[in-house]
Amino acid sequence: MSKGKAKIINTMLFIFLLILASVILMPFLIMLLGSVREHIDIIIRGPLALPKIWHFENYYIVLSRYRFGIYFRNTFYITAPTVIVSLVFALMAAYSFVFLDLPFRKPIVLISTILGVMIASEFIMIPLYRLMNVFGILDTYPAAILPQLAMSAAFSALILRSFFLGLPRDFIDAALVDGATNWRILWSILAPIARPAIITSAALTTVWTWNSYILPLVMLPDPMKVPLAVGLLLFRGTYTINIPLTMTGTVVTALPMLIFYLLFQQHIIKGLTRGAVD
Amino acid sequence: MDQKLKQKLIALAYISPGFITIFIFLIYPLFNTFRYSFFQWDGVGKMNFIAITNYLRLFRDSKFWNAFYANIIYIVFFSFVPTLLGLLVSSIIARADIRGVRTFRTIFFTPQVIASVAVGTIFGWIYAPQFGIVNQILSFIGLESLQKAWLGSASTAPIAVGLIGTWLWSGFCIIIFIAGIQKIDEDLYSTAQLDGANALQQFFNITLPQLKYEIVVVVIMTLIRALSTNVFGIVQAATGGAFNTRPISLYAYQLAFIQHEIGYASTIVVILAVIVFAISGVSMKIGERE
Repeated sequence: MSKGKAKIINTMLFIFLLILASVILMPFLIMLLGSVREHIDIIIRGPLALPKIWHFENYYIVLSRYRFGIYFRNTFYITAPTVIVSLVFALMAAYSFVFLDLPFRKPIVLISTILGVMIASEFIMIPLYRLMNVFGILDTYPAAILPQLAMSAAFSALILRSFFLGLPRDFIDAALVDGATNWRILWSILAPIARPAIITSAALTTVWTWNSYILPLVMLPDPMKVPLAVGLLLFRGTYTINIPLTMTGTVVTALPMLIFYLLFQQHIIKGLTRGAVD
Repeated sequence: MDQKLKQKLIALAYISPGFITIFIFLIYPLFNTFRYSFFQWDGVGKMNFIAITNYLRLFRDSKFWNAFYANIIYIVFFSFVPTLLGLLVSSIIARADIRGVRTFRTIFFTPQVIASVAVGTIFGWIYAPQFGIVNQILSFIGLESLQKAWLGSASTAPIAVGLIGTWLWSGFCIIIFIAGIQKIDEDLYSTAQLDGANALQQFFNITLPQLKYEIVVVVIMTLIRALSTNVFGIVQAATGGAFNTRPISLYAYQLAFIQHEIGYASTIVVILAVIVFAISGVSMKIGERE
C-alpha cells in the first residue's frame, strides 16, 4: 500500500471516529444547551435552535427555588461517608486476606469480595427495607449508606487484594521483624504504596454511590433527604412540563461526575475495564 | 495466650468490620429475599407460608412475561448490538494509525459515569412527541410522516429504550476490543497476508478467535446491566415502565413497594438473581480457564 493511500484511509477512519464521538456526546450537548433556554423559546423556535439569550438563572432557580441544592447536599452526605469508610474497611480486609493468618480464608474472601460485588441493589431491596425499619433507621441517611458501603467495601477489597497479592511478601516480614505493629504496617507502609489501587477504588465507588438510585429510592421516603438521582425524578413528577428546568436539574445531577471523570479518567477507565483487559 | 491463636484473632479482627457490614446488609438480606419468596405477605400482617405457590403464579402472570420480554429486547440492544458494533468498528480502526486515540477513548467512556436516571431524562426529551429532538430532526429533513411518540406506543417504546443502551455501551465495547486487538501478535496478520488472506478472512480466522476472552467478558458485563440496575433507572426516568418497557426489576419494585405483595415480589427478584448469578458463574469459569 502506498503511503498516500494509507494517509487517506487514516483520515477517513478519523472522520468516522469523529462522527461516532459526536453521536456519543450529542445527548450531553442537548442537555447543556437545553438547560440555558426558556421553555416558551423551545416551543416557538424548536428544540434544536441555539439559545438567543443564555438563561443561566435557570441554575439559580433550580438550586434555590426547587430543591436541587438540598438534593446536592444529600448526595454529598451519602457519598462521602460511603467512600471513606468502605475504603478503610476494604484496606483492613485486604490486609487480612493477604498478609495475616486468617482462618477460613477461602470462604471469607469469597463472601466478602466476589459475592458482595455480585449482589445488586434490587436483589435485596425488599428485606433491606424491613431490616432498616427494625433498626429504626429507615428514612435516615445511614439506611441508604450502609448497604452501599457494604457493596463498595466488597469491590474495593477485591481491587486491593489483587494489588497486595502482587507485592513481595518478604517486604512485610522485614517490617514485622523491625517490630512494627500490623496497624502501623497497614497505614504507614502499605497504604502509601497502594495509592494507585486506592484511588481507582475510591474513584469508582464515588461514581457508583453518587449515581445510586434504587437504595435511596427505597430507604429515604422523605423527599427532603433524597439524593440528586431520586430528586430529579421527583422534580419531573411535579414539573414535567418545563423542559429547560428539567435539563438544568439533569446537568446538576450529571455534571459533577462528568468533571470528576475528566479529573480521574485513567483510574475510572482502569476500574471499569478491570477483568476485561488485564 | 497461645501465639498462634492470637495471630488468628488479629486476622479476624481486621476482616470483621468489612465482613460484618457485608454480611448484615448484603448476604443476610439476600437470604431473606429467598425466604420471603415462599410466603404470602403484605409486609405488615401475618406471613402465610404457601410453599411454591408464588413460583407457580409466575407462569400465569402475563405482566411478568411482558417484563421478561422487555428484558430480552434490552439484552439485544444493551448487549448484542453494542458487541457486534464494537467488533466491527474496532477491527477496522485498531491497526490504523489515528491521531487523538486517547481523546476518543475518554469520549467513548463518558456515558458510563452518568446516573441512569439522568440518561433516561435526557432521552425522554430526545424522544418526546412534541418539541422532541428526533421528531424535530425528521421534520428538518422533510420526513414529517415518520414522526411518532417514540416512547408512547408499545410498538416503538421498548426498542427506543433499547437504543439508549446501544448508545450507552457501544463506546465501551469498542475500547475494550481495541485494547484486545492491539495485544494480538502482529506476525499473525503479516503471515496471513502473505498467504493471501483478505481482510474478512483475517477477521474470522485471527481477530475473532484471539478476542474470545474479551468478547465473553463484554457480553456478560452488558448482559447483567441489561437485566438489573442500569435499566431500572433508565426506564423509570424515560417511560415510568409504560408501553411494555417495564423490566423485571421495576416490576418487582412496584409489586413490593406500591402493591405490597412482598412475597410474590421476592419470588420475581429470586428469578432475576438466579439468572444474573448463573451468567456471572459462567463468566468466572471462563475467566479461570484463561
